[in-house]
Parts: sequence; C-alpha cells; structure tokens
Amino acid sequence: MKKLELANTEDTPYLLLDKDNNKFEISGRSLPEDAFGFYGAAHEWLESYVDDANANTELVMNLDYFNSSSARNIVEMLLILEKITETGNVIKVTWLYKEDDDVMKGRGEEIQSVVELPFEIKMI
Amino acid sequence: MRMKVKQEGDTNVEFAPFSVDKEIHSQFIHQNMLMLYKGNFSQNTVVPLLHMMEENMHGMIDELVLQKKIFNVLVEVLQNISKHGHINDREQKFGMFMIGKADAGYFVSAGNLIKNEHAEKLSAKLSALAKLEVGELNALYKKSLRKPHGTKSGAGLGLIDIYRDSNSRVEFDFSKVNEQQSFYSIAITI
Repeated sequence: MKKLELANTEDTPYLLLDKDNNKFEISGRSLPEDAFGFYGAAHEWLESYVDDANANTELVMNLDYFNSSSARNIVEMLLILEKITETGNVIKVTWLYKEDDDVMKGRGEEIQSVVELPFEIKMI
Repeated sequence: MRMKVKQEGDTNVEFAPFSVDKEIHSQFIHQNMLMLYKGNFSQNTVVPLLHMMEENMHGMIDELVLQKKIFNVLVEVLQNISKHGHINDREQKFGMFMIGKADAGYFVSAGNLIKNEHAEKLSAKLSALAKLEVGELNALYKKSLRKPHGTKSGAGLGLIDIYRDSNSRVEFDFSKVNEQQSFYSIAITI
C-alpha cells in the first residue's frame, strides 16, 4: 500500500500512515474548520489497511491541540482501527502528552474511554 | 457583556449591522480588553486571529490549562461563526468578537447574524445544555464523539466543549432583525 504522508500546516497536523515501514503517526495541532476534509483520506486508507494489517500496528498520537471537528474524525479513525482487533493482528494506540498538559492528558483519557482498543497514555 | 444590534429602523442590515454599544465601550475603557474584531469570518481570518491570541496568552497567562481552555473556546466560537454565520450579499459572514479579562475571569463574546430557522434550533440546544451538570455534559460529549462526521448530532460537540471549559458560565441572546435573520450573541467566562 502506498503510504499516506501529509505535512503539517497552520491548521492541520502531520500525518503518516506507512505500512511498509510500519510507522503510523499523527502529531501537531488539528483545527481545520471541517476536519473530514483532512481526515477523510486517512479513513479511506485505514479501511483498506485493516483488511491486511501488519502483525503489529502502533499509532502514535502526539497532538497539542485539536478542535471538536477533529475529535470526531479522530475517533472515527480509531473505530476503523478497532477492526484489527478482530483479525488476530495487534493494534495499539499510544497517546502522548507533554508534562503539565493536563488538558491533552484528559482528552486522551476521554477518547480512550469511547473506543475499544489497547490505548496507552504516556507523558513525554 | 453582550453585543447588541443597532437601533430599530436601521435598514443597512447586510453590512455592519451591529455596533459596539455603550456597555461594551465602557468595558473597553475600564477593563482589560485584549482584542476586538469586527468583520468577515472565514477559516482564513480565524486562524490568524487565533495565532495572535495565542501569542498574547503565552505572555499573559501562566497556567497552561487556562491558556488551552481559552484557546479552545475561541476556536469553537470563531469556527461556529465561520461555519454557520449567515452569508451576506458580498459572500461574507459578518460577525464580531471580543476577548478580555474581567475580575470573574477571561471573557469571550461573539455575535453574528443567523437565519431565523437556525436561531430557533440553536436557542433550544443552548437552553438544553445550560441545564446540564458537568458530569452530564461529559457524558453527552462522549456520546456525540462516536457519531460519524456529518451526523446531525444533538448539540454540536463544539457547544458542549464551550459549556465544559467555562463551567457553564455562558449567556446567550437572540434578537430578530428581520423576517430572515436574527442576531445571535454569546458571552462566555473562563
């Protein structure tokens, strides 16, 4: 599968979905007005990926801010990744937050509570 | 601290339909007004405004959590105008917003024109949110999170966020301007 890599912009995060190198990352800040315009491509990519995922997938999320439109699209992405848990392959989300950033820590916990896949929240 | 529509009889509704009324003017002078913007609201204008405020806040507010809450309220308020504001003849979404500091906390006020049908629905959503405790707001937020993009969810996620971040210190007002539009204003204290 061709990798999907989007450079960060003023209002969208860095996004990398790379099956060959087994690297999956979203970092920076996310505040597009209509986040589906940005995340739609990732949803599509992941829908294809989950049918033939790597043995071990780790999605690293390192956001310092995301708006409500992004929140919903991020959860939608994670719901797609949940399908991997049904296949016998391993999927894990690692949510990183900076020290003192209780807001991002709390938001990570919130997202963790609405999805059903291995989800670790780590301070960096 | 609300924004008000100009006096009745002002027919020039499409362009700058609201003015800074006396109350706001005196606040401007006597309190710490950080930014006041009146004009078109699109993502192109919203993002630079946010950058400016963010820079400002780094210098003024020590607590990271407070900075982030204010920033979040700003994003949600400004993007709501940019998404739902009524488009005038010049293809603009005219609105106004201000942010400042009062004794009670930081305040964000915004006002814009919206279609009357939308005003009714929005008023109902806001009234419903105003009745909820923090725990209920959090539960509602989580429930809405799982709904796919584009679903007509109950209250917009952004609105729930605004109530959460401000501990429900939200006031809102709708004034009918003419048969098509109303002026909607919201004031939030963080």
